[in-house]
Amino acid sequence: MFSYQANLRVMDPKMRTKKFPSGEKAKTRISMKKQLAVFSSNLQAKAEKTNQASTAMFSSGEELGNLVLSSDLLHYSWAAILEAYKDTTGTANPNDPTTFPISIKYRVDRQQSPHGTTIVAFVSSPTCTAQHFQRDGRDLVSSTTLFDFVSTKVNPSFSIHRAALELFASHHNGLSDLKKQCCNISPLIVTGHSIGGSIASLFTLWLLESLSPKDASKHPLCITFGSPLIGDNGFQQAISERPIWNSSFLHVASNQDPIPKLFASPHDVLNIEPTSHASVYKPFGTFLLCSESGCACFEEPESVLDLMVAISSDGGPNEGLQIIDYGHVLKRLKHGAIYQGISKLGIWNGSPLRTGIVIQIEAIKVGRTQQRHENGDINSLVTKVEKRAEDLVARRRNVFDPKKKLNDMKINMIYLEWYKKVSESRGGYYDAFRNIPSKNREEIVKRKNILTQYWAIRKMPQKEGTFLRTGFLYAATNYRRMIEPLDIAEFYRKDKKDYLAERSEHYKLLEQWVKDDKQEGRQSNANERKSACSLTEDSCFWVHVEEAIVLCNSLKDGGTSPEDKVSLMENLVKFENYVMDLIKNYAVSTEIFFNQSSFMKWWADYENIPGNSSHSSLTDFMRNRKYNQYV
Amino acid sequence: MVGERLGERIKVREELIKKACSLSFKAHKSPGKPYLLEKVRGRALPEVIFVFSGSWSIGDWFSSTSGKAFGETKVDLDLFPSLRNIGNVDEVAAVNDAFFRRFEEILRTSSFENEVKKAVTDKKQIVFAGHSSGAATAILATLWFLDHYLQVQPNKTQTITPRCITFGSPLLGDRIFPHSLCRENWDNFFIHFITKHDIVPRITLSPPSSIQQDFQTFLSILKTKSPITTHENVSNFFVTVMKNVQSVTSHAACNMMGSTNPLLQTITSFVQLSPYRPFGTYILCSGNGKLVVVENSDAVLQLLFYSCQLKSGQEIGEVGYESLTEHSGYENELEGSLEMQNVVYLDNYLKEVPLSSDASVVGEAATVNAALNDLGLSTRARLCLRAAGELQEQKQRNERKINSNKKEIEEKLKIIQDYQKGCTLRKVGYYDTFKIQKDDRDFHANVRRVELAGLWDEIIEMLKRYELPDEFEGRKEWIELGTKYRRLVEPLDIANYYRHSKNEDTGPYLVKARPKRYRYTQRWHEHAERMAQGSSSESCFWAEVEELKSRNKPDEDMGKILELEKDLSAWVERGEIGRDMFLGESTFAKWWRELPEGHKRGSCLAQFMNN
Repeated sequence: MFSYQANLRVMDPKMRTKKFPSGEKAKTRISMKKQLAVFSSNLQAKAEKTNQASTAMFSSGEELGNLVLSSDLLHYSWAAILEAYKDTTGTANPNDPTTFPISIKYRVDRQQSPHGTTIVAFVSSPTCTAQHFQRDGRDLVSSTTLFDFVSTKVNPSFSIHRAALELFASHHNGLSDLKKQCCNISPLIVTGHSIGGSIASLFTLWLLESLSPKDASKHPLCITFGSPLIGDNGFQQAISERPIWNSSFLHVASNQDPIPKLFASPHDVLNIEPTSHASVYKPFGTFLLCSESGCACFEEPESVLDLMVAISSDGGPNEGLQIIDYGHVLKRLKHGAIYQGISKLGIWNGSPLRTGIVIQIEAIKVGRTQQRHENGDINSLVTKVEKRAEDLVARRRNVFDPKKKLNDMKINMIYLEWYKKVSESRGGYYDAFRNIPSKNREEIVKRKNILTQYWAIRKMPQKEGTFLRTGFLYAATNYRRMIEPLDIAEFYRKDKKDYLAERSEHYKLLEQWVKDDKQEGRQSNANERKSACSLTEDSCFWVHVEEAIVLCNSLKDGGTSPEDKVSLMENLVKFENYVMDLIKNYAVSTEIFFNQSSFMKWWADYENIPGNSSHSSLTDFMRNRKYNQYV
Repeated sequence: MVGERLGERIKVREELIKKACSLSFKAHKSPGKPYLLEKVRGRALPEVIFVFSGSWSIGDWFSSTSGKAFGETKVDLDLFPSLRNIGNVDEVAAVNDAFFRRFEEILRTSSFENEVKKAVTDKKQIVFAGHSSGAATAILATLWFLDHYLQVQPNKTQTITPRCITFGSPLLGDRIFPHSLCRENWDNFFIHFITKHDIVPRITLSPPSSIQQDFQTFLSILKTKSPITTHENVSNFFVTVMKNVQSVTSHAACNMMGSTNPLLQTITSFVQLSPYRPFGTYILCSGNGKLVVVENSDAVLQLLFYSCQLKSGQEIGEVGYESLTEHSGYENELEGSLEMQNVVYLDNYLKEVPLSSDASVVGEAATVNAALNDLGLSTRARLCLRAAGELQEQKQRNERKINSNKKEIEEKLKIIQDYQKGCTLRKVGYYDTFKIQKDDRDFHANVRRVELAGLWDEIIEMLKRYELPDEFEGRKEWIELGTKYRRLVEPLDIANYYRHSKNEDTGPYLVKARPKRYRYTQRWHEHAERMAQGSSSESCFWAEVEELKSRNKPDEDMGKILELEKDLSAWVERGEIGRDMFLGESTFAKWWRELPEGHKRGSCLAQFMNN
C-alpha cells in the first residue's frame, strides 16, 4: 500500500506538467494510455503478489507487553532486586546514598518466585552508578577476551561499553563461581537494575554460551530495569544471529527514566563529549517501554532508538541521574491492561499494522498529550516504525519450509541413482563417469550441479526436532556419498593429482556434521551391517584407489630407487589394510568389484608386480574371488 | 444477515431456549436429583430436555486431585473417542477433571442412560441444557451422546442430532475441543449464552490456587442467594480473574497475529497459562438487549477479555459487582433480548471490523459497530478480532491451495496405477518389480513416488501446524484419496527402503522410518470407519514380511506369522490388497516357501499359494 501511493505521486507530475502542441496530443494520449496500461498491469501483478505473499500484518507489541505484565514476571524480578538492595543497605531503597563496600551485589532467590523459578538479581550502589557514567564516559572497547565468543563469521567485530566491561571483569571471580552455580538451574531468570542490568545482560551471555544444544529450550531469561545500552551494531547483529540468544533478553525502560536513553542519542545528556555522528550504541533483544498507563514491546533496534529519542525530547531537562524506582511504575501498570485504551480514531484508514503501532506508541505516551495521532512528527515516526516492522516480519517469514526443497533434491538424487544403476554394466558409475562419454552425461552433470548448489549453502537446522535433523543429516550424507565420487572422477579425468588438497569445503563440512552428530551421541545405531551398503561409506574411497594406481605405476616404472620402492610398497600395504577394513564392515558397495572398475584394474596391476608376495587378507580375499559372494 | 431471526439461524426454537433457561434454574432447586427431564411438544418433533443442576461446592469446579495447575486431565477416550487429534495420535484433549467426574458419576449411577435410549427410540429431539456448572455437565452429556448415538449406519435411519444449550457455562476443554468438534461437524449443536460481564465463563482461565477463597465465597453467595456486600473482595476477585484472562488472551493474540518475536516462546515457558478454550456457538448478551453471535473460537476467547474491559478505575467496583450478579440474571436478560431480536452475526465481519468506535460506516456495518460499542470494545480489541478473522481466512486460503494440488495428485496416482497393472503381467508382482528397478518404467514410477511424497508431506506439515481448517481431516474426498494413495504407493516406499538396505542404518521401517503421511492417512481412514487403531495396516504388510525374512527365525516369530496370515487373507478377501504377492518369484512367496512344512499345510494362505 505504501509503495502504491508513492508510485502514483511519481506519475502525476508527469501527466500534468507536460504541455504538448495539439498535433501531438493524440500521440501523447496514446502513449500515456500505454503507460497507464503497463503501469496498472504492473500494479496488478504486484498486488497479486502481495496478496499471495502476505496477509494483513499485525503488530503484536502491545499484546506481548501485556502478557509480560500480567504474568507477574516483572513483579517477582523486581521483588528479588529489592531484596538484593535490602541485603546491602538494609533498606530497599535504590536511591539510598549509603555506600556499600562492593559495587555490585547479586543474590540468588528461590522463595518468592512462581513455581520454583530461580532469580539472580544484580544491583549496584548509587555512587558506583554515578561514577560509571560521569567518570568513565561512554566509549566502547572492541576486543575482549571475556566475550570473544559473541563474534561470528558474519559479524566478527563488535564493541561493548568499556565501563560495563571493566566492572564485569573486576568481579570476575565471584561471577565465575556464580556461573558454575547457575549453569544447570532451570527455570532461571537473571535480572538487574540500572548498572546491575548491564552486568545481568553480560552474565546471561556468559550462561548462554555454555548452554548445550540439548538444553536449548531451557535457557535463562534476562530481565533488566532501566539499564543503559551496552553494545554497538555489531554486538546487536551477532546476538540476533542466534535465535536463542535473541529471545533471552527483555529490557524494561520507563519513559521517565533517563538512563536507558543516555546513549541513545548522539548528544550526551551529561554534556561530557558531544559527538556529532549518530549514536554508536544499538539496543538488542526486546524492549518493554512503559508509561504510567500502558506499555508495549518493540524489537527492531532502530525503532527503539527513535522512540527513546522521541520520549526524551518531550520530557523536561533532566537533573542528573535520577534512579527510577520501578516498583512504583509496576504498581501503576498493574491494573493498566484492564482498562480500555483508545477506541476513537476518527476517520481512519490505517492498516491493522499501522493501527497496532499507533496504539503502542499511544501506550507509551510519546509526544504531547493532545491529538497525538494527528501530529505530523508522530506520523512520520509511526511510518518509520511500521516500515521496519514490515521488513522484519518479511525477513523472518522467508526462512521457512526446508522440507519442500529437500524433497525436490530427492528427485534429483533418483536421477543419479538411475545413472548408477545403468552404469553397472560399464564397470560402475565412477568409472563410467570418468571414462565413458554418454548422452546422459549432460543431464547428469546438470542434476549434479543443482544438488551441489543446494547443499553448498546449507546450514545444520538447530532448533528443529530430532526428526528433521536426522532426515536432513541422512539426506546430506547420501548426497555426499553419491556425488563426491563424481567430482573425484571429473578431477582425475583431467589428469590432476591430489584431490584431497583441493577438496571443496562443503564436503568437508558435511562430513564434519556426521562426526559432530556421532559425538553428541545422537546416533543410536552402532549396529553392525549384515550386508553390503549400496553407496560406499567413505566418499573419498576412489581417491585412495587412484593414488594406489599411481603408486603401482611408480613401482612398475624402472627408474625408481630401491628406497622409494620400499616406501611405495608400504603405502600400498596401508591401502590394502584400509580396503580390507571396509570390506569387513560391509562399508563398500558391490560395484567396486565390477570387471572394469578402477579398483579391479588396480588389483590386476598389483597382483602382477614382481616381488609381490604379500599374503594379506586382502590378497587372499581377492585371489580366491571371495568378492563374488560379497553382497 | 442482520435481519434473520435468531431461532431460524441457529436452528433452535426460541421458546425452546426460554424453556431450557427456566428449567436450568429450576434444576438448581433440586440439587439431589442428578438431572431433570421434561417433555415438550415441539412444532415438528416431540422434544425432550435433560437439565442438569449446578453445584456450589468448589470441589466440583476444581479438582484437588488432578495434580495439574488448572485442574485438567486427559479425556477418557472410551467415553469420548472423537476428542483427539486423529492424525497426531499423541494429542488427546484435556478436560476439567472435576466437571468430568460429576458427569461420569451421573452416567454410571443414575437412570440417565436409559432415559436417553428411550428418547432415541421414540425419535424425539433431545436437548441437553444447564446453567453454571450444570452447563458443564450438559456439554459433556452432549459430547457423550454424539460419540455413542450418532452413527449413520446404512440400514438404520439417521439419528436426530441433539442440541446443547447452556447459560453462563464455564470453559472446560482445551483447544482440541473446537478442533475435533469442527472436524466432526458437531460444533453447530452447541449454543452458549453468556452475558457481558458474567465472571463464570472466565473463571477457569485462572489457576484455582489464586482464586480459591474468593470463589468459595462467591459460590456460597449464589447458593444462598444472599446479597453481595463486601465490595473490596469483589473488586480484588474481579481484578485477579481478569489479569489471568488477560495473560491467556494476550498470548493467544500474539500467536494469532503471527508474532515472530522469539521472546514470546521464552515468556511462555516461564508462565503457566490455562489450557481451556471456547468451542461451539457463543451468543453474547450485550446488556441492552443486543445479541452478538460468534462461532470463531479465537474471536470468542478475545471477547471474553475485552468485553469486560473498564473505562477507568472507578468502574472496578461497579463492574466487579455486575460480574457476580449477572450470573443469575439469564432468565430476564433472555426474555428481553429474544423479544427485541436485535441480533448481529459477527463471523462474516471479523476481517472487516471497524477499528474505531466512531468509524463512519453505514448499513449493516453500522449495526455491527453499534453492537461492538455496546460490548465496550476498544481499538485493541478490534485488532484482535480482525486477527482472528484473518487467521480463519488464511486457513481457508491454504485449503484452496491444497485443493488445487488435488488434480496433480490424482494424475500421478493414475500413472502409478497404470504402472501397477503393467507389473502384474510379470512373474514377480508389483512390489518386487519396483524393488528390482530394471526398467525405465520403474525409474519413472520412482520419480512419481517422490513427487507424490512431496505433495502429501506439504499437507501433513500444514496439519501439524494447524494451518488448515479443522474440517479438513473430516472431508470425505481427502480421506478416500489418502487411502487410495496409501494402498498404491506405500508398498513402493517400502520396496525402496529395503532395496537400499536402509533398515541397516535406521532399523525396521515400521518402527522409526514410516513417513507421517502414511500414518496420518491410515488414521483418517480408521477414524472415519470407526475401526480400531492400527487395524488398517494393509498397506505396510510388506515391511513386516521383510523384517520376518531378515530375522529368519520362524519358530520365535510364529505368533506374528499367524497373525499376519490371518490379516492377509482378510484383506485379500475384501479386495484391499492385490493377489500378486502370491506369484511364484515374489519376495513374499520365496519367504513363505521357507516356512516349516507343517505350518504351510495348515495355513489359511495355502489355497492362495497353491494356485
